[in-house]
Amino acid sequence: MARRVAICAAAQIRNEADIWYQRFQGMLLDCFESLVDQTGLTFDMDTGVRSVVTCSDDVFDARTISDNGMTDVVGAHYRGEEKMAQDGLNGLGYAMASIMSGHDDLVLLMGHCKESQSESRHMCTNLAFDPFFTRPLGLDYLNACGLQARAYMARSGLTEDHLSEVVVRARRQAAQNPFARKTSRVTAQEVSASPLVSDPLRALHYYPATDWAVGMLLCCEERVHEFTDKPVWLTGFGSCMDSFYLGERDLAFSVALQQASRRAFKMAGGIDTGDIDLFELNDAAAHQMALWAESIGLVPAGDGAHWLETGGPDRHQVNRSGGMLNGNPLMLGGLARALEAFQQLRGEAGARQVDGLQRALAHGTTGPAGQHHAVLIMEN
Amino acid sequence: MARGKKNRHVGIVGIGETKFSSHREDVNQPEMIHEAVRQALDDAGLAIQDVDCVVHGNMELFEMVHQPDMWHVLGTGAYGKDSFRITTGGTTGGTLVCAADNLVASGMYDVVLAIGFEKLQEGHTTGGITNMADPLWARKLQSGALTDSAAVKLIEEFGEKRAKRAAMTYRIIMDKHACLNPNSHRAFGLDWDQMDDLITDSPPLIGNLRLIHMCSQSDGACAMIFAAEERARQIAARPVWIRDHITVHREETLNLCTNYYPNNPTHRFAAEQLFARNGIEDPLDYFDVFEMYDPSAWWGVDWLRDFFLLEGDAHLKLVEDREIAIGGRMPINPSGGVIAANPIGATAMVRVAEAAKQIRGNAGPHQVPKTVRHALASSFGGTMWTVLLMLEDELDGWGMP
Amino acid sequence: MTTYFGVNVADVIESLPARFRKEAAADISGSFGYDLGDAGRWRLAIRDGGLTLTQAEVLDDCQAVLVTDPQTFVGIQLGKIDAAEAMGLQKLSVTGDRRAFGSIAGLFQKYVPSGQETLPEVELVVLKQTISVGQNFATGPVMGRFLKGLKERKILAIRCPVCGRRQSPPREICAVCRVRNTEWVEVGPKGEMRMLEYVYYASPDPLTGDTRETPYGAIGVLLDGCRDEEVFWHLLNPAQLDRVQMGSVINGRVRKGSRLRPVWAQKRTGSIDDIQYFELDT
Repeated sequence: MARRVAICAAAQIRNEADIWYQRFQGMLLDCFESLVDQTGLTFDMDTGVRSVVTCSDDVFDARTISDNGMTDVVGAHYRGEEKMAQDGLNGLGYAMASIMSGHDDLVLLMGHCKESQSESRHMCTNLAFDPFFTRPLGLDYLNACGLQARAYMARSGLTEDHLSEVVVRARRQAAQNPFARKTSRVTAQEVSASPLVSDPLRALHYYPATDWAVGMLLCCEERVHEFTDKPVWLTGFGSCMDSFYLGERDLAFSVALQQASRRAFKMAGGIDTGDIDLFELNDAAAHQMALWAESIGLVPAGDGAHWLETGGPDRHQVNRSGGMLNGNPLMLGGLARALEAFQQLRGEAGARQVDGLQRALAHGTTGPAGQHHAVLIMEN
Repeated sequence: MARGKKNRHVGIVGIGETKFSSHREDVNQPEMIHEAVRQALDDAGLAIQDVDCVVHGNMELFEMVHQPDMWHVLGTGAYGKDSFRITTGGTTGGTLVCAADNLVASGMYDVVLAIGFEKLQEGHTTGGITNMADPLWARKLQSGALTDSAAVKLIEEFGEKRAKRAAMTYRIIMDKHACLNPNSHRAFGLDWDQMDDLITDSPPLIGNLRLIHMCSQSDGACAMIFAAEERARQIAARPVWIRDHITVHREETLNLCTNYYPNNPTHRFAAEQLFARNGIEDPLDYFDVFEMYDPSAWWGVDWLRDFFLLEGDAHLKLVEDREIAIGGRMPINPSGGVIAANPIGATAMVRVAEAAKQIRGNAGPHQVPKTVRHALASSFGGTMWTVLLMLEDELDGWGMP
Repeated sequence: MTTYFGVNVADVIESLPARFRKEAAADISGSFGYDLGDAGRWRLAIRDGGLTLTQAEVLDDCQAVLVTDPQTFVGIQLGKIDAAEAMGLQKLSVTGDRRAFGSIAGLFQKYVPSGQETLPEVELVVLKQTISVGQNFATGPVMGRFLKGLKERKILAIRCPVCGRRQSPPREICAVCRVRNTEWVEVGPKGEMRMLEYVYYASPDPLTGDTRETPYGAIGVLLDGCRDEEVFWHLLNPAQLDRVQMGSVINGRVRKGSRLRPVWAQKRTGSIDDIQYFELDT
């Protein structure tokens, strides 16, 4: 069995609506310096970091090889660097593999994204659709979520009131996180009164455009003590790709997420949701928390509405961070989920802290309405 | 391996390559990828169900699709599987091989399919590359991947006549190799008696860099299948083992000027590190073949010195004595290299695929006529970045202690 | 008559009128010559949507003349030879207005050798689009300060507090030392030319689609106060391309490059264009 991998340290800047005053390099440098401060890591070819995994997106950055401009600020000058061009949670899975393979002892993971840079993030996600059919129809990730919400609400009985309550809770949770995006505290009525953007989704049912940067240091078991006395072990990872055309998928239940989570559970020693104390599910829209909860098997299929009504999210410790719904950029949602789980498992979650945690699940999504899912199991 | 700690060995068991050509207008992106995937599966004797994980990568702005692995699932076969998307610019194809190696060696996956491809749309390749420059500054200055710096260095160091003849000798040898490779995009049938005319008459692009020296713009795809040792031996009669790989990047600012040798320092650094940690003192002696990522004939000549850790004019002599030809002492790019075919997103992977074919001994008309046991493959991209990989015929004599 | 790829040249040329798509030729007029060596010379005259083809010895009145050998010509018509490559190998050239020849390429249906006409050519669906998404690129305090300096006709470099390396334009971090750059120093504005890219072939600006007029020079200037590879990258006054000299230090051999100075734009906005280009400092 390959050696275990842990996250030793994490650093982030605050999620914001528009970081007009810094470019990516400045954003990442803050994270980089914090990690060096926290861990004393070096870049020595024999004993230090010699591989970096970055996470960014060329379309959102409007820059081919978007990692090109970051090499120096992530310490990768004369070192290895590979860009994860999917949700950053996959970067953690890949970093795990790099260390478990024996190729590296240490991996630095650094992600950045500014949704504020382009005139419309929806124009960017529209480009994910094929040029001949789905793109000219005007599909983008928001519309895809709208279609998915309609399908899920029809099957589960979720109503607009449920959606609005989810948003209220998300913001209430996020208000306890100093690094969360500042969003206004809203009432359910205010959410339900926000304009319809993609029926049935209203403006406040969808995550707001966000800028962010984050970094983490991963290390092999044998050397973890050099960097931290509170390692968070990555014990399971799985991912799964669904089909492309929305019509070919069951939008009301994600088989891809079910598969991804099963693979992660198996790798973690054959566990199940009952063995997990905290869940961070990557919800870009208000209907998704319940939908993802069903898909990972936390909630019986079709029971999402009931689960929401009976305080399920609080009971199961779901999205104490506020989720992606409060605001994380598209590429980094999964990393934000992992970061919350990391802090929770180390007892560093401040006002959001849940006690007695041993194991958490972090989830990331890529593609329209979650075409690709990644699931990570983390333990202290 | 770095410290002899590779968790388990990884073998290349399947290779698929489409013919490289200018615009493939008869297929869309997933269809083109599918061709290579089918070939790789057929080569390995596997069905898509046998693959655990798919690794995909490209430079999105070239194909103008955001998160293209989503749409491409129609052709990649990744439906229902784990998948990763990892990119690093021109080195992407090499990175995908490194990633596949890490993923299989980790124990997380037994069979990984990696896909590199290029389907350049109506846009301009060089324009696409220029998009990699910093929008605040360099974008207005950069001329894509074109530069005179390599030629200037060689000319300054060795004199104009010798340098130009060496570059053209290299070029002609690459073309002769390309003529033997049915997959090449361009094979002109150049001959030695054309050397002087080509040196003076080929249209200049930048300074001494002429059209004839420069790589093509091609469409095409390459797919490779990697398996863990035990599985690899079940699948393939002759798995080609990945011994080690290294990636070396550098900051984005390019300080190209004539008092800066070597021209691409990351190549030399990568070679020094990789060979030292694998106990290889004389790479020119050790390796039997080298598929080098050579975007231009000038760089092709210059980088031989870096990769083989040579000094003085030893690399020029290798070219002048035609030792780099298929029958020579150190065959370089029996496939014809990047100058013959450059489907950018696949190119770096094709170098590994071609090196692997040489080890298998059945590359086709461009097979080198000797037993190939140790092969080297390089990637180039970004702002003078390097990926360097070592392939082996057998597992004995190296690996886990 | 000799055939090439199973086809004879005269067939190909003489079929031009039959393959002519007059509906596409409404705005085109002019004479175009084909000089095919041993296979003869032809003049193609297009006007008012009509076409006349004649054999002609003299092609002086043509706007442009395509000069090639019969094999290359036929090969290109049949799609077996790539025209750009042929040009690169000097097997094909165009005298006169090259672009004009390009404009008539789309006026003819593809040549199909006799005997193969029964196979209908599949028309491929091609979608042409220009995709553009507006961007707001932040400069951040480091680039911001540098660009502001340009407005004031100053070239600023940032310096690493550990190794002293200068970078202009500045970077937030010293890549080598991996520490935040903190010190600023004014450099130049004059300097020595250390690298010249004499550009004959310009690639389009991805932001505007424009192509710079060629030839032009992209240069690396070692500004006063900088050393080694701390070169500043910009453009040269294109009129001075052939008067400048690259400086170098190779294996200890020193050669002085031309001394240059920046030419500032009248109106400066805090961008790379605040320097129009560098020119000889005479």
